[in-house]
Amino acid sequence: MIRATATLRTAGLDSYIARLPGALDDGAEAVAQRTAVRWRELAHVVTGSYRASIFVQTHDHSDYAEHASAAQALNPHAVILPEPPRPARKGAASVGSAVEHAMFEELGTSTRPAHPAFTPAVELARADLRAEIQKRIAP
Amino acid sequence: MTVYEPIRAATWLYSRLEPDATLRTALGGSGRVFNATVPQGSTHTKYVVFQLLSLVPTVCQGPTRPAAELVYSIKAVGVALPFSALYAALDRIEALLFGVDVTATILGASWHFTVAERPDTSLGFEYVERTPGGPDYTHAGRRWPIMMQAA
Repeated sequence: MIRATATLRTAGLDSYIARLPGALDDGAEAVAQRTAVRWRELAHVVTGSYRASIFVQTHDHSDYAEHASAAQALNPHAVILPEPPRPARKGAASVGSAVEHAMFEELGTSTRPAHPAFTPAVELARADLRAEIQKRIAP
Repeated sequence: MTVYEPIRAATWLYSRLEPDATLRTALGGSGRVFNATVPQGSTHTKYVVFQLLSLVPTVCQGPTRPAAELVYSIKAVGVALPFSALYAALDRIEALLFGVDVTATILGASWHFTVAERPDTSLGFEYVERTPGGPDYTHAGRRWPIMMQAA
């Protein structure tokens, strides 16, 4: 399973958090959703199942099922992976792919070079996390 | 002049990994380190492949990018071999790259390379590629964040 978790670290920010309930939770989900969009934009498309398989999870929400179904419909041979556990607490969100061949696309096979899409999307998300924190704590 | 970091970084990585005698021994010989693709018809049963996954310019000055953060996948690949057969090569790659902080002349220019560790990020991977009617390929390695800047 290829997957990333975005976590807003809240140590030292308690006073701000008290005044902005829910803001950091929304920030993590916003970053995860943006990362998923970038990942889909960069994904190598053959049948489209890899691109369709990219899902987002938060503590209390997941769109895994619809993306796994869409991926299976586009490529009946695709191996669908089970849904991983959702983030255990608020303030965290995950992006992942529901198909096994996401790993082959990202890191390559014996005959094909990698088509990286997950890593560039996550690298840009690192900058997004900082911006989301700044926007929500000191607008 | 605009620099093109991936060419310089790949040249540096290759020069650091391929000539190393210990890594050659772990792979069973020389000429078994490749950038992105393995030549067709290769008969090696153990080899190393590195490939650029991401490049983020961290300092830009006009038309130049004097600093950039790159992420490379560096993996050992085995043909019909268990993961454990790859660990000696992976250990050697770790020794050659972990904590690196060096200046090197690459393609006529001086560059500083730093392996920028991220203790909060999971970077390792292992997976098996099954080929119809052929052998299984085992892939194991990790992603390496590398900072490079003009020296």
